[in-house]
Amino acid sequence: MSVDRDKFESLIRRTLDRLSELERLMWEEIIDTMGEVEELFNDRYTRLSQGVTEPLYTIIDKGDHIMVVIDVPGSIENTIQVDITEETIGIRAKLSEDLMRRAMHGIEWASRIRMYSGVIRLPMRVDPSTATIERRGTTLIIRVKKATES
Amino acid sequence: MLNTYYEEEIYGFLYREYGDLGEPSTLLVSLPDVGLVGSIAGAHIVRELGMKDVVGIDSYSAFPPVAVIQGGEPKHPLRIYSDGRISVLLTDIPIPPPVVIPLARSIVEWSMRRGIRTIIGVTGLGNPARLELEKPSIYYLATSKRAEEQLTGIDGIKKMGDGILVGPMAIILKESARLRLNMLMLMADSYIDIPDPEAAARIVEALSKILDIRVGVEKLMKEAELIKLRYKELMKETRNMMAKMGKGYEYRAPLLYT
Repeated sequence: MSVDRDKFESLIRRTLDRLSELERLMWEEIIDTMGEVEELFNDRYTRLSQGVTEPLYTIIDKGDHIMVVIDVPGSIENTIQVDITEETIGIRAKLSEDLMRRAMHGIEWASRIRMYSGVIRLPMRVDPSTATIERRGTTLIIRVKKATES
Repeated sequence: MLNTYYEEEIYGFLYREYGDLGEPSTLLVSLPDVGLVGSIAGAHIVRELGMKDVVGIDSYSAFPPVAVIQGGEPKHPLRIYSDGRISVLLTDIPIPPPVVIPLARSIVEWSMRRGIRTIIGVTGLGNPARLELEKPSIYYLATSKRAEEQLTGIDGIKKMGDGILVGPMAIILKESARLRLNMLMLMADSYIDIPDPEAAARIVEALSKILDIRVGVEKLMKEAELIKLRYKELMKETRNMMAKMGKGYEYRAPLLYT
């Protein structure tokens, strides 16, 4: 009879330990997520107060060169400025007020966003003198050769 | 506030019906994922068919404390739209990784309780060569012969061979298979982290034939720039969530022991 009680107590202890572990993991996840949410708020608040938004981009490794696809929907073509260095690509462009207003259903705060602005950190050093820029639809396609090791 | 007709809790999620759901045979699941293909396609169908939201899905412990205001009415962040025949699940927020599994299971369970005969999941399939593709291809997966038969007579949709899926659709697919619910999953080649209305348009074209609905894609293509601008911030949020839920596993081949 006492053996059964020992088994039962052991089972309860293991179950409680497992629950404590699950609770710990859940709180870790929540704290982690809260950090990201805070970062998102700070980033958006800062950008909104400056009247800018960051473009989306994707970087594709093509072997001897990299291709950076930057999406700038709503940008006014003759205002796009691209600045390529060995480690970064900087981009600025004016946004169409009309398109922004329509996209955001006329929400007041969105009307303050007038510019795209962002700096993309590249995963490896590149040779800026080899860069080519192509505009296709709303995207800018930048191809640039990787820097040779000296 | 809209009156509640009926509400129930499934796996910790509140399903609150405040409109006439009808008896839809299909639930189209359009959750934020690669290229936001599902979100864009689902929203386009809802708009073109003039569907009304009739069910709100929420969880005060699993979702951020969000109320979506539409026409002065507070709404839940996840909503099901319906025209009585087809229903569409849309969301205004990305799905946090810890919520993916219980939410996906609750969607399948709700579908079974409501007599949904087929779940159709729509999403993008991230393709690094997307830029070079003239027209994105469409792939499918089906949990049953009956689900697969819905593609009879429709050309240009290829069956996905080997690969790894990550995210809510993966769970919905497995749960549907386990519970013997018909599920058809449609995936279009897409940019990974840039909204892709063109890929969504390909999905809408396929759905028009599968569901026998008249939904054109001209408006979607004409407003592509507007849509990309509108979905930009959701894409940014979704990219973070995708990375956290292990989306990177999709970009390696499965290990085959045959």
